[in-house]
Amino acid sequence: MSDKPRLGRRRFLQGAALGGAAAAATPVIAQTPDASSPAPGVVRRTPPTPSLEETMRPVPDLYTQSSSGGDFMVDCMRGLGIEYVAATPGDSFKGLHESIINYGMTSDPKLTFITTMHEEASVAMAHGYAKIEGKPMACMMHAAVGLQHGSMAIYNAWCDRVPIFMISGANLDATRRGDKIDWLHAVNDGPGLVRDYTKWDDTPPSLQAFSESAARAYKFAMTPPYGPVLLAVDKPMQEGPLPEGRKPTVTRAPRTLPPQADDAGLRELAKALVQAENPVLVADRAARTPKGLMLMVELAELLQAAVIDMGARMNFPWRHPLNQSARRQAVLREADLVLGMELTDFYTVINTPAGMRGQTRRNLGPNCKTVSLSSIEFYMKANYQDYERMADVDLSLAGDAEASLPTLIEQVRLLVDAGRKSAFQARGQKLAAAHKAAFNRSRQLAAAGWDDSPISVPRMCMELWEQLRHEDWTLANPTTFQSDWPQQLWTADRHHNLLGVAGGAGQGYTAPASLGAALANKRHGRITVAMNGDGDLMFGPGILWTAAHEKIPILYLVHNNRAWHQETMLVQTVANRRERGIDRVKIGTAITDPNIDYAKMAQSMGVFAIGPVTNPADLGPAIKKAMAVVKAGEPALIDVVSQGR
Amino acid sequence: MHIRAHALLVLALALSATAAAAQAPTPVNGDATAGRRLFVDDGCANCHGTRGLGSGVAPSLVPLLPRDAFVRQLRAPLRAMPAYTAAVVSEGQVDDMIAYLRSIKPGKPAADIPLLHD
Repeated sequence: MSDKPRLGRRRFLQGAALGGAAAAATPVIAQTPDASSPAPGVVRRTPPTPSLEETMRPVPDLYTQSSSGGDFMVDCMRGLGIEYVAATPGDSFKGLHESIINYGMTSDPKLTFITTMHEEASVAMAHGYAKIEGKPMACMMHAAVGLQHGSMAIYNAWCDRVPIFMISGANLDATRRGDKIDWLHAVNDGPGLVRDYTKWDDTPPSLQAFSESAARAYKFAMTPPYGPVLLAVDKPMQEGPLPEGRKPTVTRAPRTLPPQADDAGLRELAKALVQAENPVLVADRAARTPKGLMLMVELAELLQAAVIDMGARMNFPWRHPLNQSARRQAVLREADLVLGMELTDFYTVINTPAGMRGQTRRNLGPNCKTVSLSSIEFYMKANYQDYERMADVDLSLAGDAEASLPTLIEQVRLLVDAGRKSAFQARGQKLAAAHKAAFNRSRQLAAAGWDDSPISVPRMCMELWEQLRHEDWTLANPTTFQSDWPQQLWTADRHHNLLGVAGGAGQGYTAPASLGAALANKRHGRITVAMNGDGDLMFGPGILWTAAHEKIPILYLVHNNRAWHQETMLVQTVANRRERGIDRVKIGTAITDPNIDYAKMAQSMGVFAIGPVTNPADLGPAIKKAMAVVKAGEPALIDVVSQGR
Repeated sequence: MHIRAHALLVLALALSATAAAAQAPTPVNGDATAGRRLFVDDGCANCHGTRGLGSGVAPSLVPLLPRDAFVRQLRAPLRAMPAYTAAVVSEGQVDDMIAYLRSIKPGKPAADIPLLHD
């Protein structure tokens, strides 16, 4: 069928009939537009008032088409290996939306639409997905207001160095904008809103340009340091047919290899590590992939060095004897060399803030050397301050830590002789004993308030662990608000066991990011759990509907301390300093009066839910019940009324 | 994790102060019920738990420090804890809180909790 437009015959004949009837019935008609009297013999004629039926009748769509720019874009995304697109629907990408559901989802390889209730959830789902799957999924956002909604989640992904492939609709041609909403949601440079925290963006003017930009965007997203990328796509390009003449071609993204640090620098580092008496390896995003975790273990065991895992990723097994994360201050005090690998904030590894007027206290001994190994040296922007305070580091090696580890390990191996090996063994034995002692101390501390109500956080963590310990699992929430109890007490040695942090600490991350991780875990048969703060969940509870609608198995434990607990403590600090009203700090921080019933809320959206659970003895059975639902392929939620931390 | 190290330091200080005192606690004339309300409403529970048995950000207050050491920590605390001056918590209210905290029985030890064993 032709893609040329066809006028409806009925409307043509209608117009001709009206013209003929008017000509027969009236005398000469005045055409003057103003109210002054016409000339004698001339009668003013006003146009007929349209009937109600005519005003209500929709303007018929006059086009049909057999090809689609949106379908071509789907092919481009498939060519990049993208399997999912999360979105809340929007007019400015309806062309691509239709292509995904009627072309992408009905032919192979499938590109599947995941429906969310908020653009922030779309981006955060992609964020969590990428950390499990090691590749991006896509998300789409409506022009202007949709991108505004998603912007905080984009910032989180930027700070967390995670690849996300984002598309925003655009409505660039002013003459094609239909009504006032089209204008309200039109912006000349849409990606400009988030340019400070995206790695790359483009507004391709043609389908071929889209193809090439998509491949370039993917390449940038997947070159460490990873980051979110954005394409703004004009409506006519999505909605219209393929251009006549030369058909666009799908551009593939090349295989990319991450940048390794300079060889000479790694040799110098290897020498320093081998010679050090108390080297400490501090890792934050060092283990970018499962291979990175193995390499971290290999390096640490070769050196018998202390490892501090800062927790942005799963960098080191939690029960490994060299893991000294629980006694970080003691280890840093004794260190003579600290290697920071992909650290968010080296400054506060070296120094601890001490007071509210910017004072700090040095954590390291006066002669301790510091080396940074990080890919962030290749790429940073200036406006948002996520690069943290400038650390006083002796040597900075620009390179992806994981990619640099094989060379570093090889160089260390060449330098270790019998004498150093013996010294390392003695060091390792001391560290193993210290690790065991710290673990036992954690168990003692966890017992405090074991039978309390509200339920203690260690109790909540250990009841959950009891149900998880024999499964292949992912803990998808950042654990700061649970005081890192899982790291202190659980056993974890797989990269996917911990999803890590939000990146930008933007609240509202946990529930959707966890669901994105669960989406990725579905194919691997893993259990995904998240201890989700109540305040955090309420930023976007609609994600629970997405979990039910898309049938993504996940277990949410709502860490329901009935407050934005962190902020409660912060406001309290100020009230104490001002010596007033510390009994009023719950104003603006407590989530009570009324208490939210999270179980009822979840049930209303199709999620199996139990709660509120206030008796700790009820928690284990509740988790067991919920876990059965998750194993059957459905989401579940338990509202746990718990202590603050 | 540095917060937990702080908690351990304060706990160590508390234990050493207790060992140094090595005698029956100083009697106080406080109201435990009023003390519980203060402890929860004035925010102590946010960090120390509703029964003062600790959390990841603050140590257990049971067994309790001697009164002098307790007041020193309250008025001029180490590290992250905010200071509670006499304008915020009067001496009488300190006695109420101490009465409450002394009424709390310590929980069972880790050795008696199966979930805390491998």
